[in-house]
Amino acid sequence: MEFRIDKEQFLKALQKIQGIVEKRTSMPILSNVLLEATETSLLVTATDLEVGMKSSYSAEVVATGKITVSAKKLYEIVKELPNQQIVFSTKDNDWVEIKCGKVQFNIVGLSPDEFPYFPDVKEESLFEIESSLLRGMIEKTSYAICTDETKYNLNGIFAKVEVKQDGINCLKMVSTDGHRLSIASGNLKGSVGPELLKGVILPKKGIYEMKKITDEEGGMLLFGFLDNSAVIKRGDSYMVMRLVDGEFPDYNRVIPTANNQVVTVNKENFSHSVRRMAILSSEKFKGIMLEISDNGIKISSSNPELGDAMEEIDVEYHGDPISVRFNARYLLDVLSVAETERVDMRFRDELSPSIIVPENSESFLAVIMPMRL
Amino acid sequence: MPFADILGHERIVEVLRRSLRTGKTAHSYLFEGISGCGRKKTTLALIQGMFCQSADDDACGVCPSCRKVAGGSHADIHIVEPLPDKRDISIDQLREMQRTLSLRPYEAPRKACIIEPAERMSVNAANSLLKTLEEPPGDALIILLTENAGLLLPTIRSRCQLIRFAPLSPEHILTLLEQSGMDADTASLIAPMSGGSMQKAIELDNESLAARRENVISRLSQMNINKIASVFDAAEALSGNREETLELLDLLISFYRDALHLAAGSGEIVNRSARSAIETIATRRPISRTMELLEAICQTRRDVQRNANPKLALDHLFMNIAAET
Amino acid sequence: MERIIMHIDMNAFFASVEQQSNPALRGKPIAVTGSDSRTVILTASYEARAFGVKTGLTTWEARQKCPDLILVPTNNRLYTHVSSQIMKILHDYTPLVEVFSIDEAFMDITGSVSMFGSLERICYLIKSRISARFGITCSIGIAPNKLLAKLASEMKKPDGLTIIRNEDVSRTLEHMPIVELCGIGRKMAAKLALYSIRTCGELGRYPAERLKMRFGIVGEKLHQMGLGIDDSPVIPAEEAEEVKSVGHSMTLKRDIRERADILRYLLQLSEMVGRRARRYGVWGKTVHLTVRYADFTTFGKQGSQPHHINLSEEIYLAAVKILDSLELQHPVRLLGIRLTNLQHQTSQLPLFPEEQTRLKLTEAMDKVNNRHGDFTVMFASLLDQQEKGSHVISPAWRPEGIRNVAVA
Repeated sequence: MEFRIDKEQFLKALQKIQGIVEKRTSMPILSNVLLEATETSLLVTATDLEVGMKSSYSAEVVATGKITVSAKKLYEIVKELPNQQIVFSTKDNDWVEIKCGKVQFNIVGLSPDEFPYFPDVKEESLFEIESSLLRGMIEKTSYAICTDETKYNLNGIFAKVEVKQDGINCLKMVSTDGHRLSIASGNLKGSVGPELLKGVILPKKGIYEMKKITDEEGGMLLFGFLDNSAVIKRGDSYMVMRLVDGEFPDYNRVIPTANNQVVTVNKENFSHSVRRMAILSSEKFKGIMLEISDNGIKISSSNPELGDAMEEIDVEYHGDPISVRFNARYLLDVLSVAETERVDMRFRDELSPSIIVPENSESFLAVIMPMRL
Repeated sequence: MPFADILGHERIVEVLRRSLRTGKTAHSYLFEGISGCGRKKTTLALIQGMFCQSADDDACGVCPSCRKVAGGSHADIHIVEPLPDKRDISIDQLREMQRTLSLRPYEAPRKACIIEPAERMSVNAANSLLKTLEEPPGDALIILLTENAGLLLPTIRSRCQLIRFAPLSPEHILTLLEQSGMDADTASLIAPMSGGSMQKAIELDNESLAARRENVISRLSQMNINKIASVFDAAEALSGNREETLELLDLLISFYRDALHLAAGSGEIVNRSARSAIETIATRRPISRTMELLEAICQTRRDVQRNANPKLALDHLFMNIAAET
Repeated sequence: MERIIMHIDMNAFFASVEQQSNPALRGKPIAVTGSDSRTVILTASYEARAFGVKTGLTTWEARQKCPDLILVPTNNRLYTHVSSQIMKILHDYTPLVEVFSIDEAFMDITGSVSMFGSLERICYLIKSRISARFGITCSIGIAPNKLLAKLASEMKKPDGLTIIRNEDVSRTLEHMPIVELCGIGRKMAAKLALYSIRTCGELGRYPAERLKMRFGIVGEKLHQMGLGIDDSPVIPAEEAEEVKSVGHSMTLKRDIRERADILRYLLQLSEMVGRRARRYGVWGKTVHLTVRYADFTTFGKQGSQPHHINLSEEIYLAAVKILDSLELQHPVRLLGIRLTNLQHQTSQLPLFPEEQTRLKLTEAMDKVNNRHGDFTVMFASLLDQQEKGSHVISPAWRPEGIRNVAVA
């Protein structure tokens, strides 16, 4: 095969897959990038069998064909080439020649036949979702992903589509670490398969790569599932991630339905207070204490090794007085991703799960289990 | 059909095929047998059968999935073995495996994992495997290969279906060697000495065997009963541990068998390249004496097998042989 | 700098303690035996040794050799007490005291000699204080390292003092049988004899590569031992045990061999450790299991948990996992469980109901047990999980010889 491509474009293409190629050497082919020259374009593919990415770039194809070469070395080479057009061609026995101006490299590749199967994506099986919406949903859930690797079914985000009464499809994303739970939801356009109606678990690594894609720019994304993978497509590139093989716990049963004591706070003010009080708190010394009454919220913390602190916030509250303790980190995590100016906190009693939701919004709900008083 | 290629383990193959047919494969197997007896081949056939869509209880052997399994590049097979410069399988390798198994299969209907040699798992690795065996993530199939199941934690053994592989018979080894392109003479010489292991048969092959044959012949010809030290030196040089001594005795048996053939006027000998040396053996003494010696060698072989001290047994035998020169 | 290592070994420790605590026994041939049901000699006094009575004989054999032998049943608590008092004395001379066993210790006195004047003076002080306080004699060995110090203390018994200086090392080792070296057992000696290595001199001269080929890493170590080289430091107990821990151990009334029996004790210990940890509001990430055989050989093993634990059931399951990775060769005399890598337990409650139930159940059990005494309520189900349908603990069952090891 032989193709000509602009250096900057080739560099960008190779940079994009550096995070994906396998660093371990269990299967040498996985540290290679697959380059395919078709009639019209250059396809660049990399996978570590967990997350894979395939992108298409415009290139002047002289002869079609495919080859794999070390992703890292190729990237290093291209990075240092002069800013001119690159001529990339294959020779016998999987050798590759790279020419750029007066520079020439000959490097050895591996046969493309050994490269793992990469799923073929059919666009009609995908649905449309706004990039910024998806990014927000990831932010609102990824903080609560469980870090204990032995609980593999909690090491990711559960995604599921629910059909609402008005017929609109709603994507729900859920994460939990056993102490707290976070749910984000957003509407999407297009049809969904049975897989997503039942729900799937997206692995942590895949989520981080997915987030990178949503960070790039706005607009619409295509999102969907095939085989055992989730697919996300933007423009000419798509990413696949293998799903976690496991059952996500039934989370609905831990979302309280009878939390009738509601207090609304200004998010900024409240976060500042919590952050201040958190200075003297630690998990060891039982987090921070919220005492809510008609007069407002009294937030306090104490630490036998350091001292104690207290602060009061004025709020409207007409329910029964209630005292509850939280890990300050858990509160701050929720407050930092809530998008509205005010948030509702809903309590039942001091030992039951509490809810935090943005005021007048149904797109986000966090459940936090309190600490013992 | 990969299962058809497995020689000598008909009952095991039948059991595995039945479990594939009925969809009742175990979550974890422990394959015990000497290395080179077909454990790995059976493992791959089982996985091929499970992955391949062509038949209920076997695989086609030619589809991409089957070829990847056979070629060791299937993305849904995770192989855990000691790293190149390490003796043991570490806990990190087990963690890596567990992470891989926690994801859904890449392209196959199930995931498979092979741990070999299972007895080389470090204590921590073995403990960590216990959890996976208790609750295999998804529908993962875990196969442990070992030469001795007794070296594994009892709790691991009890969580796996144990399948014992007998050593291959010399006939099967012969067939397999010939299939692999070895000439019939060499194959028939090596087969009985391989101890039922193809791996060992292949190791025995070629130069190493020829070199050993020459060494043995030169030692034998230098033995002189009047210089008793030469006899003991030969025994010292040629004996080894039990296995190696048995191998040597097998070689001697083939020499004396050949000598009998030559003495009887038959040219059908195995050690062709050593023909002249064997002729010397054959002509030096009456045929009845050669037969006695052959019987003595066979007896020594039985003794060594029954735990006689290899070195002493050889001393004795060589004095017997040397006495005739 | 050259180190000065001391090894101190109490002579006929158990027997001496007995003779000192009961004057009627002094000067007489006595032997300490296992408690009543046991019939093996644990230690014999020097008077009895003169008749050929030694450790390991059955009482019947011992009586054959010495008809007047007085048998005294073992009194572990007393020995432990005396031992800890002696170790305290040793600490007056250097902080670097490694308690090697109940009647042996290593001391690094490199830095202490100038403080006390001379080597000999330190030895004299130690010997006289132990003798004055407990009436027990000891053998002291001094050498540039632990290996040789231990060898030196063995050279003269009872009441010995042997110094091996650097320049004496090769001469001392030349004809020393290798079995005298700490760490070379009878089996290893038999293996080495195949290479006609019988003395330390021969071991040291044997090519290191060949030892290495035959014995692996141990071969390297063997070679060094043959040359009298040993770099291992004296590790004070505080450093080895620096982590805070919650632990319990129990000496069993009879030696046990059956897995089911061992599990019963482990469950009890787990409950004791768990309850204590919960009372202190701590949880740990590492579980240690200690096993001692009837011959006092003691060893332990630890296992790390994926997260901090303090529920009895979690501790028990972790301990069983460790037990299953051990191969017990002899009946067990003592079992111990320790929880280390401690942290204050967070009071964070779990979100999912099944975890909450587990926590509530434990709390309820602790409450009942706090009010009505230990082991009023126990997990019978846990045992069944491991041993199908067997051994439910009877409410009347009580563990024997509970001893609190350490709570920090």
